[in-house]
Amino acid sequence: MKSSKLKTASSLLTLSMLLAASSSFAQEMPSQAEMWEMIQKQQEQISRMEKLLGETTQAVTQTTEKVEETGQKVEATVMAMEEVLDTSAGRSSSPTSIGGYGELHYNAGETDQIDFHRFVLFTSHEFNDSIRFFSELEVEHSLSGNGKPGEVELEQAFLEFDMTEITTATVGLQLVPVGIMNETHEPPTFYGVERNNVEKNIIPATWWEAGVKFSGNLGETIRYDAMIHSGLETPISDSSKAFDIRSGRQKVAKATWKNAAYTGRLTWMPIAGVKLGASVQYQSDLTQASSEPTSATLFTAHADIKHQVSTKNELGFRALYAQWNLDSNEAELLGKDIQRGWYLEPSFKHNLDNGHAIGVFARYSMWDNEAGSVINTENKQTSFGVNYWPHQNVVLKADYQIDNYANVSKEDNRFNLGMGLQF
Amino acid sequence: MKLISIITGFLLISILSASAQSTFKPADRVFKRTSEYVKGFFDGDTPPKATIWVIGDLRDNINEVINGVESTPVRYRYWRKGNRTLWVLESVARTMPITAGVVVEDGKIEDVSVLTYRESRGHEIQNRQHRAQYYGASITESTQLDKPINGISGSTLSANSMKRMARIALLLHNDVMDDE
Repeated sequence: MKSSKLKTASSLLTLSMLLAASSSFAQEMPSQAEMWEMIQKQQEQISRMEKLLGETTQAVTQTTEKVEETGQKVEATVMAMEEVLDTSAGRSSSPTSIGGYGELHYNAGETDQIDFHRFVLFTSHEFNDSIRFFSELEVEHSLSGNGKPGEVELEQAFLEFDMTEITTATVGLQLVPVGIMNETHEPPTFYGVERNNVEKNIIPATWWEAGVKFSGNLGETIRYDAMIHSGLETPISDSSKAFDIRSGRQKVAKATWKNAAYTGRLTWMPIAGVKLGASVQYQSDLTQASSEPTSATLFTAHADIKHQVSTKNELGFRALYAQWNLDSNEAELLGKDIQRGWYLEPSFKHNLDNGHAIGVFARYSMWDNEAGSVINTENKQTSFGVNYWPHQNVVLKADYQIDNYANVSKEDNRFNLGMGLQF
Repeated sequence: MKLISIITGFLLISILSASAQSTFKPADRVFKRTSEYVKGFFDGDTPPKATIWVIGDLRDNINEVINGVESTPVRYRYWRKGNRTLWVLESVARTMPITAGVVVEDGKIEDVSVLTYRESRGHEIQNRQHRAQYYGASITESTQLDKPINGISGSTLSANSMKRMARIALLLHNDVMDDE
């Protein structure tokens, strides 16, 4: 009985506790209205987020479009800039290019003078991929005119046609393919303030004529040039200048062309840095007026070597021999039937880290415009000096020359200073 | 005699010029077409062209190489497959630009070729013996080639242009590889 009462009491207690708990739970649960309100709030939040996401997506799309547009603008700007840069650098986008070179010389000794020896402007124009024009206009000794020391000269003006992949033809006023310096004489390319006397008096550099020239390659290492051109017209009346090669240059200025001249040259590059060349020229009458024609043949041979002994040091060597043979009694009588000269020029160049370079050279040269004479008429000169390149196209030069001439009164042992540039 | 020479000369030029126009289009002096050159170094394929912008240290280094001879480009285009890059560059010799191709692999020059030559003098730079001097050359910290390259008398400016292009290609190649 007692147990039964206890069970009943326990059951009642449990029930009352459950009821109490259920009542408390019911009180914490939101009502339907509250739930609805909550759902609506969440819906609003989702809508706002969707809107925000839409705006963000639109912004990203717009940004992408802007980036693409900016990319196109940058591309267009760069292309325009590249065009401007190309033009300013005289590159292929501009068919017309300009360049030039110049040199100022100071000669001490008996000469004792300063002279802007040459200022040359060259222009070239590419008509199409296979036709080009090249020209050089030169002012010598700063001032030209009546009684003035200088001249204005058209040194080159020729058209170049590509014939085949390896053959070109040039027509017009152009440099004769002989020697080392006749074609390449920009001041930074050679040692010594003044150009060497052998090529000046024998070849005679700088020497240009009007004509037609064919050039091309024979295999990998040999190049040929063949030129038909106007010739020299050496004086015959003035005995000191008669048959003088340098005085025979007409410079294509209303030049007499009674006799054409023919020049051929072969250049061989057997190994890198070594260049060997030989030229032959023939003119049936060097005077172009004489009743007794003076046929003339020029032969030149040269070696021009640049050997890099290390990344910074270069040994150089130039050697040239040139000889004219004039065939006439008049030339023979004056001893001018043979005119010849040669020189040797070793050099050493050191490249500095900052792009500058310094080089030293020595040159021994001999030339004789009356070598057919029985008396000694040889002129000899020993030169040595230094070139300093603060830039590959700018050079400062100093040298000393020791003359040993047949005519002692013309000797002028002296210092020379020079400044040269090309662009 | 003189008249015959002149007439012969002009006739020869006319005939050869006509022949040149018909057989060598679009141009002579284009020794190798860029497309052929590229295919030749990528097993017959042409990889997509990439661009490198000349900024920062690269610009300073290239300016140093160019040294005021010409303008420094804003960017260069190139082809690449693996560690090999190919550059078609232009550099002014005397007044006209030379177009050359330079192939670099693992920081060393594999090939240097003249693609287009426009100057009237200096053709010798195409000579195989001259170009072969560049093979295997890399660039030093002072932006110089680590191999001695013999110059060519009478073609000094063209040879200098080739040297500039080789140095620039190596600088660009190293920059592309360093960016990885």
